[in-house]
Amino acid sequence: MTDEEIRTALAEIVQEVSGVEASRVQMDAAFAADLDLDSLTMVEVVVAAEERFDVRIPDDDAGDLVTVADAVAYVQNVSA
Amino acid sequence: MLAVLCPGQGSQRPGQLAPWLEAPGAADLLAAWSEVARLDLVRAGTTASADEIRATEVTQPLLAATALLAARGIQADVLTGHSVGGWAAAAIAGVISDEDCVRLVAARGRAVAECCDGTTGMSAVLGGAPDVVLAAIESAGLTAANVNGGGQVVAAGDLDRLAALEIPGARVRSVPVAGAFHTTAMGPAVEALAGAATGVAAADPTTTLVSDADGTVVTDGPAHLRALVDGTARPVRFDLVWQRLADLGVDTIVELAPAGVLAGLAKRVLPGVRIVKAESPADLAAI
Repeated sequence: MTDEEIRTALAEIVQEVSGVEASRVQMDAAFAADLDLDSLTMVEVVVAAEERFDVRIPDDDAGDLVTVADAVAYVQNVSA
Repeated sequence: MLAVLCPGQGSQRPGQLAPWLEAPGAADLLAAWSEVARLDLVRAGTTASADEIRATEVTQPLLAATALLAARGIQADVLTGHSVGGWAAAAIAGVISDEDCVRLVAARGRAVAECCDGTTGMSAVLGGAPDVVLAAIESAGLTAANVNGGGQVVAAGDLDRLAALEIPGARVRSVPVAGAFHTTAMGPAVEALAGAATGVAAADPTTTLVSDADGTVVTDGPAHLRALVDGTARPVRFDLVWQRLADLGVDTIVELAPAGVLAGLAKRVLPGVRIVKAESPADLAAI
């Protein structure tokens, strides 16, 4: 998948889980500070992302995913 | 039918108070509330970092103060709140004064923080059949501390038991909180809070007020104050709150600042209901 494909899929997940519009889920957006996702919603996004991208994101790594770009890079790395 | 919802812990955001500081009278109120909270609420709600406001004893009074400021000027038909948000909802409904609310919530935050000794925590349980999930949590010796609706359940209790929790068809992930909120681990906090609440005047609500303990409409103010105190160590059943809001015919939901969590849940649980996030005074015009 390209970075843009991952971002688009991630944006759909965020919209589905939190109601935040997918168009706001851009690379430089921070999940907590910009998209207003609380810790519980973030957990839901991570779990949905694991299923969608068929990857494992341990709790310790999930805590490091601050921005959408972080998450895209993580998925890109572990699925490479 | 307009319902106003007060968010709970986890919703806090750096700078959440900033948009409300210029509102008429806000500075005086915050000065008075900071004194009873024994905390500089203006600093906590403007320049304090995410880490600083994640501390329970800061988070809780900050959430109460923000909700109370944001609620001014909104004519609610129904009020409710999630966990600590229930205190602000009770104050807005006239059960307790705003000042008692901030003072008691600050006491609650400190007492809850003291109950967090690093041996307990919380995990989100996602997916699975509701009956199976709740039964599995109970049989693991844990508590379903937040049943939020929309398939969102939070289990709480001993960290070792949480680590071992497995539920068929569901995923379990730890949530970064300091302890097992809304379980018997918070028993000492209930005692401390009951002491702080002694002698506080409580009146019957003047607006329909829905309890997050069981989704019932509150009629008896003094009894509700006791329920709020006890609720610190009892589960939140927001699934029942959503049901009650639907039964009452609520068609507009306003989530007070810092909004997002309950608005997101509402979109899933109550499709078709209009949702407004009151993040700044400008948002109130849309109501």
